[in-house]
Amino acid sequence: MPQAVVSTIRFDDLYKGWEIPHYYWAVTPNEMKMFAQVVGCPEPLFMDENAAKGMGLDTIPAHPGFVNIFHFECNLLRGAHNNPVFPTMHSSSRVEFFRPIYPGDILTIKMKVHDKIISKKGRRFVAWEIKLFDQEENLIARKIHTSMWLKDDEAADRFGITPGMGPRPLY
Amino acid sequence: MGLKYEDIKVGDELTPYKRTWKQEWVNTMMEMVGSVPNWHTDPEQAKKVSVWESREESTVLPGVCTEMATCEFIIKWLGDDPKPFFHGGGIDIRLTAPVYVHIEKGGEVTYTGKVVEKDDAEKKVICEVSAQQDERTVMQGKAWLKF
Repeated sequence: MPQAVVSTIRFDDLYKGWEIPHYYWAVTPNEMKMFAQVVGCPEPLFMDENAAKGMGLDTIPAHPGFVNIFHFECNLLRGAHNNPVFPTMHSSSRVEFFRPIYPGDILTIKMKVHDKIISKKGRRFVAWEIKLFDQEENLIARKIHTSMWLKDDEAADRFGITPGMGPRPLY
Repeated sequence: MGLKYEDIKVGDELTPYKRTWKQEWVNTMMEMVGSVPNWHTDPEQAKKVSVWESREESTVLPGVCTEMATCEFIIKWLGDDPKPFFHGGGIDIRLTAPVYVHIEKGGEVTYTGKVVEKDDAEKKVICEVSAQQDERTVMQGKAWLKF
């Protein structure tokens, strides 16, 4: 399958506060259930309305991991820019839940660079802030997703990627 | 029966949660993301990318899966009332080592934790959490619940 030749988003391209265009998602019960199945957690709480109501919720909630369907950073970045990202490794997560995601929610996802960090060992990290709002503009979840970005020489050694190169084979 | 705030004591151990991750689930997730093949689906790429040791016929579990399972762990501990997690709860975790997933046998991870603080004014419970695979600690952090 031919790939479009596009430049790669790199650590140095990002800056604190840079925000991706907002992203929207209408949540359906089927995709919520499919998600719970795909991640190997088809518990009654996530699949059965009566079970969820019996646990005090309005209806089935989305599996907590559902927040990630929107913001795997490669997907969202690529969706926004048709642009593959440089290899990254997830290093930490902070997730706050203010209410469950329910079927019928129309979510607005806002994602921006929360911080850029270079460790004493020279490791480079980008922390993204991802906020999910409902149709009434209430914040329903917030996540800080931090990833380590490979250095140029590491990327060159492992993947043959050099600065300025176009498409790469991994994503 | 859901866990009540009054029933929880500092020092309580959370019920351990075992989760076996299957490669087929990871493959499907990565297909959804549109990001294949990569080191989460291809053992050869896992060898190349890992800054740690790699394992034969194994990939590395996406970090978000550890994040998801940590949430499941807390929800399961709450029993029949998960509201304290969904309404004001959360997690803050570091991924300290790779979780290996054998392409046929999968990868088993055990999540453990204990209560370290109760805030009576806020009706909030804070727990230390961690996860182990083959006696290696792969995740450490905290989780909180709002009653």
